[in-house]
Amino acid sequence: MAHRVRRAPSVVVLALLLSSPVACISRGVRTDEVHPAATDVVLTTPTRAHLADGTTVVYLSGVRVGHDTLRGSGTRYDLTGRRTGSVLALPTDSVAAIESLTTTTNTGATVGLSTLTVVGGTFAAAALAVAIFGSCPTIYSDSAGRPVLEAETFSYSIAPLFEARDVDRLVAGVGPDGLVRLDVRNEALETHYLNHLELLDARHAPDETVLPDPRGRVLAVSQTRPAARVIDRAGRSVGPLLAREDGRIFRTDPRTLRRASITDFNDYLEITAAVPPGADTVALVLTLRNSLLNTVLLYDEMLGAAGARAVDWLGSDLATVNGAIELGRWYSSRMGMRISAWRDGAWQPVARLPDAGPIAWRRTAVALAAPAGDSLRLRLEFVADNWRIDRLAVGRMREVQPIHVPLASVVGADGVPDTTALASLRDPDANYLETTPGQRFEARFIPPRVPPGTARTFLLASQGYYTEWIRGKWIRRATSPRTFVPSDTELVAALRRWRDVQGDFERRFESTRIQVR
Amino acid sequence: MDRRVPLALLLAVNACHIGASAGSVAAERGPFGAAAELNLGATELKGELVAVRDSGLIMLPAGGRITFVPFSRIAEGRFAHVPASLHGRQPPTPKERDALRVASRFPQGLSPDLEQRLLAAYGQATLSPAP
Repeated sequence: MAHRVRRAPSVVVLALLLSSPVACISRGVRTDEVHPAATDVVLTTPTRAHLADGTTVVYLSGVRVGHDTLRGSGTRYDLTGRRTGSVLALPTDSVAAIESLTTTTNTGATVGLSTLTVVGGTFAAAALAVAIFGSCPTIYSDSAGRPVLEAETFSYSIAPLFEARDVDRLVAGVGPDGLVRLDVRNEALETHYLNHLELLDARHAPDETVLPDPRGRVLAVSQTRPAARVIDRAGRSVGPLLAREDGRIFRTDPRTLRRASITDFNDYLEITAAVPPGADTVALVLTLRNSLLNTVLLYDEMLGAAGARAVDWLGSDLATVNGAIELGRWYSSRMGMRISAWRDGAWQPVARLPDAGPIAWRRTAVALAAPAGDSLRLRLEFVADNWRIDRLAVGRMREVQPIHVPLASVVGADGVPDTTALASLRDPDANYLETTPGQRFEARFIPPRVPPGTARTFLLASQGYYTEWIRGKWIRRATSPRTFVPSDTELVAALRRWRDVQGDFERRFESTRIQVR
Repeated sequence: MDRRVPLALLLAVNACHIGASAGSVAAERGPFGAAAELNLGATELKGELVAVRDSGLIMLPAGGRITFVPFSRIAEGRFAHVPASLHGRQPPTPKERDALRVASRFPQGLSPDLEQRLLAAYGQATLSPAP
């Protein structure tokens, strides 16, 4: 049985719960937020509707989902699974759950199955909480029997055209059996399409730290020093907070977040740091992750507001080059972190750091040309409260050419090796391994043996993308009659929403995930 | 009831522990739940996963009756296209339980009324005990 799909499905799965409006309301949804003029959403993929009376309607050619009625040519099955007739119109209040099961491909070669789910009141709270905050594949290694969160990969590749390659530094080492084992999990309500996994084996001097840069290069950094001075936009001196990786974290001053408006929604850090003597290139070293602002932007503004219509946006709009470019340009110009250097009396843009995801801390380095003189002035600018930063330092750097270690085997959760999955992941090609929520597998690598005492660091290079599952409560609370249009208005709406919910979001996040570095 | 589809899906159980397969499976499944293969120690039960309860699974064995199988009876359990499996007569983890629930014929659960009507449809008054 093949596990892979050739080329990515272009339409995301839809799973919604229409039978539990009370549960939705109890989660804080205001019924008056439902847009009464919302137009129908057409699902072109096979869909099953589970009715409250226990019968099932299967729409093999898709269905039009209206606020009050499902319209389409469906086959009705009774409690025993016996076909009992045809259905053309179905009141939504008779429906317990709808699942859109399959997706078409842009090559026509195959069709991928997205497993069903019912997202909403029937799920255990803990599982749902994880699902709320999860995103993208998460990578764990084992440390004395305890899973250590290593990375979250291609965090913002939310459609096939955003497929990206990520490089993440690992703390995992070689086990007694000569293997590097990584546990790859789908812990979110998403379908992950993994194209390629490989290990990078970087050898370095004992006093060097190996870090990936935003372009996926591997840098060996040494002689790192905290910045002499770091001032945030609110005028706070935050240098001591960022001097070392100690869990004391920079976050935007609440006053800056409160002042965010359509004309000015950024925060920044201004940095003065010493340049290592004789260096013509320096590394800006950061340990950071995103706040959950990004999650709010994605869930509440990009997807949730449009409800079921978001399926079209993800599956159709973002499947076009123009649509992807429009979103990509807007996103990259607003989100992430823009790095400028003080040159010739003005701030000159020199680099950009993409978003890292809100779950795993990312250790990264940005290579920058060293200025004349012994001092470096930088400005890191970003949307207010988009980042959590634990460490900031400047050091000497050199680029390292790592050894590429191919994936050796893939072992399923049942302990059985899976050669088909392995074939899907060994090369960055048209074959993808598709995983759905709750699935996991172990990726095993066999790095070359090295003499004892050799300093080496492993990094994981991964490539793929993911598609979000549209939540039932989003369908019920859709507030916009249109799909997401990238704009600063939407961003500021997300910021306002974030101001309102961040405390609750972060508390739930902290209580449902174990942060491990 | 035509049970050819779930039985056919059983053939795929062992191989489908990662990822989902082709979309034709979705259409083939029709209104039914995932195919399951349960090792109950002295006997084996193959059939359709009808619903999931806190203490066990409601199954429809091929050619059989609607049956309740406590987790404590299931030495090994495998399910077609479901990211969950059962071992050692232990209940599933919450995440696996959710995966099983959503792969069942009644992901919305069986209310007492629905259960009675389901049993009546199969000519039963009560759930059959596991063999």
